[in-house]
Amino acid sequence: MIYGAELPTDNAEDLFKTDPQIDASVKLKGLLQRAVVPNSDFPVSALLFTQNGYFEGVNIEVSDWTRGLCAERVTFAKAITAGITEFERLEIHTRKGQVSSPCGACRQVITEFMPINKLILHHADHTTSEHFMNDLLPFNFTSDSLRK
Amino acid sequence: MSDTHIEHSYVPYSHAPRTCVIESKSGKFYSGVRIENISYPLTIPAVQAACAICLSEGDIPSKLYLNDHDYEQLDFWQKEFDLELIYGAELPTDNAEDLFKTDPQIDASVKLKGLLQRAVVPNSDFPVSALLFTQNGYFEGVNIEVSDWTRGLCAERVTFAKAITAGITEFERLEIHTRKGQVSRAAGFLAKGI
Repeated sequence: MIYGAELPTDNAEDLFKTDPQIDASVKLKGLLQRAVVPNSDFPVSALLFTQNGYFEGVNIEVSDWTRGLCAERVTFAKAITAGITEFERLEIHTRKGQVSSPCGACRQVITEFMPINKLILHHADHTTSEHFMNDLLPFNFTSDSLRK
Repeated sequence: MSDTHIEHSYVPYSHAPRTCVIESKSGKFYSGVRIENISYPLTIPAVQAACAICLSEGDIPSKLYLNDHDYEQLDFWQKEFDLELIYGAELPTDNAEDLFKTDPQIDASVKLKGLLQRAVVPNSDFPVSALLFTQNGYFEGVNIEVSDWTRGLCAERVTFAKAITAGITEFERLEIHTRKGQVSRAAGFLAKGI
């Protein structure tokens, strides 16, 4: 642990990608190999797009299962850290399972930052489907009376 | 309750059951088991379950009885409540509180409103209560917040923690209540001002 008033944020990696033309499906498949999944062996990748670029995410598992983070939330962690809060869409891929679909916890987090935006799900059988966040988490927890 | 509770663990993914027992400051015992989720980060470890259950009963965790295993979140809860750890093969599950309620006729709305006062909400000042019904009775839940926001548990999940720990897995319905309106908004505003 290195405590101090000055943090080396100037040296922090810029994780915002601006490749002009990427194929999201190819990118998502390639990203899967970066997933850290010692517990589940279930890799997931995600791309969070803004108007000008995107952030990459994979799911991360550690010894304490509850300290892991899904691929979707990793993309938001990168974006919010970078000061970006306006998003266009989120694309998600898993290579196993019947469908690629964000978990309930991720839906709550996605809704906080892009409540009506589009999600493109890249399924294991190479099909895709498009959804809107307000359809994936209808009647969600929200309140104006939480302490702020 | 005369079983060890460990077989009540819901561990279809790890196949590594865990159980533990909290002894509260008032001398009561609360069991907790590990409850996994297909979204792994949503898993409720046994220690979190037992502590949240204890807190939801208006009690404070004091001692933790454990088997000789690794337990997730142990360091956090031990520090949060200065828990005394007591390791052993035999856990005092026989003394654990039976939290399954069987009042024949309850008014869910009245019960939910009354439960709100047991919510532990130092961070949000936003109490929530829940009742998880089976055919024969129900479990009560309130939301639990601790110093680490990510270690809290919502009222709904507290009811499931109690039920799964008790070995009950067949449910009929869930009822949920939050207090809203001028009074709670004002309280939040005042708290921010302070």
